[in-house]
Amino acid sequence: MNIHQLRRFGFGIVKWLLLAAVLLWAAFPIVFMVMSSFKPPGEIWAYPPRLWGSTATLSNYEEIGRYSPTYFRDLGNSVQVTLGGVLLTILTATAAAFVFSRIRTGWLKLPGLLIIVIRMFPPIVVIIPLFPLMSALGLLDTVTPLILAGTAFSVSIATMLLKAFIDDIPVELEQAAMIDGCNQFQAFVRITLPLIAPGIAAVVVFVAVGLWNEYLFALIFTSTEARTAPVTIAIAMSNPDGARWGQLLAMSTIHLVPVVVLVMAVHKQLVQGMTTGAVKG
Amino acid sequence: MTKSYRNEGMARARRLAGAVATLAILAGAGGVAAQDKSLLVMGGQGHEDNMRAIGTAAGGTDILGPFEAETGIKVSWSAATNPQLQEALQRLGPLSSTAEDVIFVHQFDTNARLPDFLEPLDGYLADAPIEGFPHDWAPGVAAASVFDGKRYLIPFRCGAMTLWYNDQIFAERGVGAGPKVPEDIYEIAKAATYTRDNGEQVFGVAFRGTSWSITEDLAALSRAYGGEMVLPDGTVTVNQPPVVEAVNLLKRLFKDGLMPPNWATLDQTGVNQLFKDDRVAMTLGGTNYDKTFNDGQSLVSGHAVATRWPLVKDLQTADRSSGAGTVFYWGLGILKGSQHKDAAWEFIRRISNPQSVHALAGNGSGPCTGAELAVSAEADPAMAIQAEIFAAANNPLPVNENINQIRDALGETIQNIVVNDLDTQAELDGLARRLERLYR
Amino acid sequence: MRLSRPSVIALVLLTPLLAALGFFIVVPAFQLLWISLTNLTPGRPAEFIGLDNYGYVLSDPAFIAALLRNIAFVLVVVVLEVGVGFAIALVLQLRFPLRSLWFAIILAPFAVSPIVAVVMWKYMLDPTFGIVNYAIASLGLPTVPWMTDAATSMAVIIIVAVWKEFAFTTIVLFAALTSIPKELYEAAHVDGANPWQNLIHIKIPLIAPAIAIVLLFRIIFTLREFGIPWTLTGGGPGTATEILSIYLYKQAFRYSDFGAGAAIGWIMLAVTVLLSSFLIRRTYRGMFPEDR
Repeated sequence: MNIHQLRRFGFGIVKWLLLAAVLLWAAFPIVFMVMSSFKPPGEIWAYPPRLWGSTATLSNYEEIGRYSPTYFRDLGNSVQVTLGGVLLTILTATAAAFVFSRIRTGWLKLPGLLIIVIRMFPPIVVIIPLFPLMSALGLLDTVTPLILAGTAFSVSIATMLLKAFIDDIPVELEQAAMIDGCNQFQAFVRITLPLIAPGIAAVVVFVAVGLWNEYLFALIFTSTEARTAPVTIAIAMSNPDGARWGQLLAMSTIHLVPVVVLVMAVHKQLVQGMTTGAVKG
Repeated sequence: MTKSYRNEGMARARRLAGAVATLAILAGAGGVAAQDKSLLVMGGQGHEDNMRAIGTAAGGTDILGPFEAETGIKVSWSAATNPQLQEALQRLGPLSSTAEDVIFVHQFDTNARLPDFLEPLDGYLADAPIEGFPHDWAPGVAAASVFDGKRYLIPFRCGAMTLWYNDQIFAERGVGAGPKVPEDIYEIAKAATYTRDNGEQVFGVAFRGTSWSITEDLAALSRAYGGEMVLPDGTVTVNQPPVVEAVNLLKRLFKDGLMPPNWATLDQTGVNQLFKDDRVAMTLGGTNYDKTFNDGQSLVSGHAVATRWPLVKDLQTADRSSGAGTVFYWGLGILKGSQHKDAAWEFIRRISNPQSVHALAGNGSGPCTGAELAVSAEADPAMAIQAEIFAAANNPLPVNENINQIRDALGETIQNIVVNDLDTQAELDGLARRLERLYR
Repeated sequence: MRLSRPSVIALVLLTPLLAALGFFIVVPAFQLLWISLTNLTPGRPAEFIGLDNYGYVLSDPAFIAALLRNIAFVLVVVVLEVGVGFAIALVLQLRFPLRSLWFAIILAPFAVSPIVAVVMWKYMLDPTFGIVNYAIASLGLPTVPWMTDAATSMAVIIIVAVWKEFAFTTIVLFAALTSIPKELYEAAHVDGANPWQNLIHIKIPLIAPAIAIVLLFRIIFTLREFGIPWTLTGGGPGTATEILSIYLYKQAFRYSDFGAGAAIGWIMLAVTVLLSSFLIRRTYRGMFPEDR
């Protein structure tokens, strides 16, 4: 081996060590929590701490029902909020993105500015006025305000991302279909939408992650019946009795696995979307 | 939790999963219509455990099971920590319709806002009275929730805070008796703080340190030095020498490692757990904790001893040699938005009758009635102390509508002094100015 | 006036969007302004009290402390996010097989709920039994009290916040780095530049605009942080981690003082819009390029 090869070899090792450090930082907390959730209850606080238990057991998962008997119902509420919010957001945002991408009319600048400004709004400022309103409408402790307010805070970014994806599809493709008798919107639905399906998938996941993890609205607008999983986890955590960590880790694992898998599955489009959202605007 | 409630939750989750496609938007939103014969009670987990005789020594009496069987009213529990209960009262109280029916209300919340949140109980009391109410109840406690001549709570779980110690640790460390003067707390804690052979750390004393619970512990400590944080007429004395000395005692205990280092996150459950695990020598605990500490499941069973609260030497007289401690009580109220008010009243009425009160006292829920207290005091020395304290002490703080802010201000300031090591007198002077505004 | 046909279509298709934004954001924002001028508390009628709430909040030392703490929190978090994100982007620039897989893993923290992130970090950072202090102790270093101490509890919140959000800066800065023309490196190579000089003279200057955008974005979105500090410390110990959102929450939902809460809300809103004005203008120009 000559000196040049040796340097290349050394550089290769350093390079992989750096990558290992990056992956450790990003993934270790998740992996460690998931593995710990299968530890026997007595080993969760074993000292010295161990990466995995002496055996893998589901007993922490069985404990969930004992201490947080509503958890699976609350996960159901989270599913409702996520699906409902994603559906509404995508329908609303796709229609709007079509308008901003394909129609040129002077007054569109006003709603355009509105969605840009509103994207910056902190959700915490609307909870005070919405709380009495939802109360008057009898909607507190239902999933409705979570779906609707969640949608309102997702549509801006979803519209902007979808518009960027639509802009990449040449309008001439739609015009060809219009010659065949479609109107412009029909042509858009038939031609362009299928072409941006991966982009839509990314937006769906992006919005779904936000809704699935949403905590503030759920904390304020629900109490018992419509409580979502993050609030229940937070309540379980605020219980000062240290003996329930096994259950807490199991609840968290259940909550985390579906979204992490989803995000990793569409990560390419997500990366593209994040870059679009920040860099192109 | 009841088994039936869990099943209902599971069944609902399955239903939801099945309806996943259509559920989305507005349809699934209304929640399920509440069933006729069910009741949702919002209270502490400990409250439910007491009623169902969970975690008590053999011989506890389940009073919810028979209630459910006899009335056909299924009782579900929405468990919450104390601060969560307090926020829930304010958040659910003004609503016209709530899933929750009965709520546990802590003494601090018995202020003039109660009529905004709770149903007046006089009509129910007239139609279906509670045996012995109110003349059998401790008078101050029974009068506390009456506003404009209307009653909003039935006092339910009463107790006093006094000193508990672990006589095993005391014997091991050569400590003879509990503290007589407040400085003894420090000296005993110092003697009783040590590391066991297996590396386990034992702490001399554990007080509660969460912002929510400091109020009570500091009230008791201030009384040991002969002072109050705020006088009953609202005069703020929180920067006067007795409170300064009490805070400095906490500060020294913390700094010198005689209290657990996570003091600021310890609330009642945490402190109790440490005590039951044989990890602390002394604590401030409820006089109703005999069943909690000496329950056969705890490591210190049979070795938890309740004793009187200390008092500075100068104030000790021939008839009074101990400090006042503090009192606490919970009341049961019906939320204005409850959809099952009659069932809610039936629940409150049944668990407040003398038989239930007696059974609950056996499970470790401090009685509010003089008769039951007298009975309990014969068997349980801690209850004799409770009777004394009830005669001498009052609320840790006078209560008004700003009480949450008052308690947070107090808790945050004391944490800042003890944990973040700020100057005691300067911080308490600042606190006094804040409290004066809140008591005006 | 008669609307043109495209205008009608546009109006119809935009109605759901405008309804959602109007009903849940725009109207509430104005209601918030009104509430901030009253003494509203749930269960009682409100009275108009002018600017008293603003006077109360701005003269409350706890508010000023929370504001300053929030500024410090935001700056530290954002600088760390950009620092960590940029460092990781540089590592990923080294050519690795399976790069897509590494990206997928790096994106995972973004998917995790703030509450779950708090659970996992609280578990790892337990002062007595946690794996992090164990690792620190194994290296012979003094352990850290984490959540039980004022300074370190803020550090925990910062660590969790950075961990959850660094992927965004990594990805944006990686894209910016990738878009640097190869010719520049080749020219530098001819001049005998080493990798360090490349970083200082080519990479950082060329991606400076992207860094600026990312900084702004993250400042705006970190300013509103609530879930992590609320569930991790609730603002304590003492007031060591009480930032604006927690102060607002306490005023409104623990003390039932909606008026004061609304005043804080408007102050936060004003600061946010002010900070975002540059981004807003830039995005607007990107959306309607004919204005340029």
